[in-house]
Amino acid sequence: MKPPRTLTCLGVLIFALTSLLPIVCITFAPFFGNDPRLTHDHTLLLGERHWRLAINSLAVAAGATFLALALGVPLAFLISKTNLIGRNLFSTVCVLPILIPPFMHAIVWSRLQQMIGPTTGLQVHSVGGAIWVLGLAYYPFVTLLTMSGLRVGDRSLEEAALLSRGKWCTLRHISLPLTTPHIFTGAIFVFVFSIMDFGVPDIMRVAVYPVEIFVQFSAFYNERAAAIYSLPLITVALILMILQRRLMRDRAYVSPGGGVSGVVSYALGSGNIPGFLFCCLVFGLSVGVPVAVLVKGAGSWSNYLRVFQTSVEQTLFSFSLAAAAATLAVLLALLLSYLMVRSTGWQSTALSIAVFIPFVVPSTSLGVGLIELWNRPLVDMIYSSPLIVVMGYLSRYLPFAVVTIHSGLKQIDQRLEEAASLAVGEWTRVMRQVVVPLLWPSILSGFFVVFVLSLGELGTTLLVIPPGRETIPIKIYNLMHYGADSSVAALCLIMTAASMLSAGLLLLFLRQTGAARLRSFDARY
Amino acid sequence: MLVIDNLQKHYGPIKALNGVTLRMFPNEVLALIGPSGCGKTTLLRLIAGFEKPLGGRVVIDNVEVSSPSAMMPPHRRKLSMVFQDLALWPHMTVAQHLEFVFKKEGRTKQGVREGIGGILQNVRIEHLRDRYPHQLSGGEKQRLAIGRALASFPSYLLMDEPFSHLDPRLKEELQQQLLTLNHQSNMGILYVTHNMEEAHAVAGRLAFMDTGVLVRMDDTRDLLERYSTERAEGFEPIK
Repeated sequence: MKPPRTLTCLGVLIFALTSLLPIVCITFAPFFGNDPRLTHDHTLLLGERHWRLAINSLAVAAGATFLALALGVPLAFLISKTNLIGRNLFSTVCVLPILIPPFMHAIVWSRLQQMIGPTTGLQVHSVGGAIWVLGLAYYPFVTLLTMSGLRVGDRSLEEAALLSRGKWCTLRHISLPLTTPHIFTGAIFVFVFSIMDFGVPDIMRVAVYPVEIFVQFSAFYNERAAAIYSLPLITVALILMILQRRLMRDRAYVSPGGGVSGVVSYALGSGNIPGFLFCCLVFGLSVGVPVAVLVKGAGSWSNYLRVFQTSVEQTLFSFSLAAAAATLAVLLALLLSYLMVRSTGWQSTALSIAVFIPFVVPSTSLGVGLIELWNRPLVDMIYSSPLIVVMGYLSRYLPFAVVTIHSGLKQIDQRLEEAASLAVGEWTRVMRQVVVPLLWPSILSGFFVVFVLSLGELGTTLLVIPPGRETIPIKIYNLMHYGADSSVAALCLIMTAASMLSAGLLLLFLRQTGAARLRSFDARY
Repeated sequence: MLVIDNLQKHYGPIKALNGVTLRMFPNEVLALIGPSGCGKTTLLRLIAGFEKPLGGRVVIDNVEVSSPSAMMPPHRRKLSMVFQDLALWPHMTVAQHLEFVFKKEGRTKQGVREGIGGILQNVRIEHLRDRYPHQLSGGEKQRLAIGRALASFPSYLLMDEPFSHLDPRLKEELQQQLLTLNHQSNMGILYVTHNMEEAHAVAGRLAFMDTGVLVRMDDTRDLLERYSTERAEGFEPIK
């Protein structure tokens, strides 16, 4: 069954205008035009500064990836595969670190340096500091993906091994290799996120590509240099994403509604206490320390009230933009995923590659691309409105919505749809009454992921936000540069609390939906 | 001897096993038959040590291996199992499957190689040693699953509807091969199925289960004569 042609064309057009054309602009801008700086710009990729940027960017991304693996993989195994004390609690809270945007971690550790640096020698404004902060901010992606791999695995594969070898041998030779694609995918995600990140290296004062792109564009108005500095990042990230797609193919990603029950669990014995302490340490560093430092910095309740009162407009603006982007993203992702799953041949392959291209573009480059494309008299209405920010969010986070909805759609038996199409024959009705209700948890998950990530977006927003408007991350960023530390801390906490509230509501809804489904299943069978 | 004594297992309000008692001799083939959801697989999982019983015990060759208070790890029970879905490891070749099992014995490399060769020859897949499970046909996968189970030289082999997805001809061929292996190795086989004909083809004795209890145990031929293929409703549970 195919969607109406008009709808397909409209969806593909929106996708092209918001996601693909800005990237085409930034990628091909260096090679066209008569700008006299062009000759000089071509030497940018061979200069000494470029090599320093390349080394720093790769060091930060590789270091953060290793740290994320060192924290995320053991954590996932302890929570999913052992009888660890408090594993249900850890399993519930493991999504919390994602709700704290990376730049907030950077603010926290910068502040810690101010507080304890002189006595302890803590120095976070360095490549090592950026690695530490990015590793702490992004390890949950490794944890969640590894947990997803461990939970969807067939338990009889491990039981078959347990009959002939012990638990550690089974863990090493069966459980771990079977989860390797998920672990590797988590590592690639962290690498790409880290190499593209703007907020953390900017706050940590580390010269990397995304910061340089921002500086070249906003300080020197040199969009060609910004575009040229984007190319190495896009190339590396593109190679990694192709590798990741080959590894994962159609495996499911993360299910925030809770894992599958009935996985093989290993008794930790005397290792239970060290395991528990390790989990406490990781959650302490990634959630406890940020919250504690921010609470200490925010001061009294009156400060929260004052900050909230002066930030109502920005809060509402941020939430409206994130909600608009998330709604558009799930609608577009639903259509694109449907086309990817149900169509065959080159169209499906081309679409599945195109959808992931925005993922490999740095946030600052995307901002430059959007400006290049939309800053024209004919479309000034769009460029000077909040719609340009929504486009930026949509472009950056659409791949996440597609991943979530695509894997949900793959699990729906096509015969259910075919049976409905025999009865009604109208695509929109079949989607509304059969596909969407079955896909509801995936749609909600996709909405949640795009919403939360959009709330914390900084790199693209900084470049494209219309004059006189602010989102919460931009207000935090500006306040930080003015040295308003207590206001920054209070605003960070308000934003984190709002994200956690949204996450809590969604998880509650997903679990209730799951429970209701089980009840209706029991009633029928 | 494998002794199952008043074994009980509940999942919430559902009584999956409600006091099953059974004795199995070292070299016999015993078929466990019953409708879907009657507790056959649960019984196998308790014998294998994947789950802990709520009551009762499992004794293998005079050693208590499962009870509510004590559990011996699965790999020390002298058992093997052929799973219903075979549970072949997708990242290992045929030879690596057997190597994984053989290595536990602490043998020399030469010993492991010879052992693998012997098993592969026994189950007639020696030419497929470097293939991965997805490169095997249904029958070849089945042979690999049996070979892997035999590689640990178990005293008892548990088989959970192992041939349910095969065509009748292949099923018959593998059943005959299984009986040959049983005679050669002198191991007991607990064969779970819901098919009376299949049970008759492989087993000397037959145990009927229904709703978590063992309702009848008899010689296969006698039982077939008396009750044909009718369901075991109305039997009194064995005391």
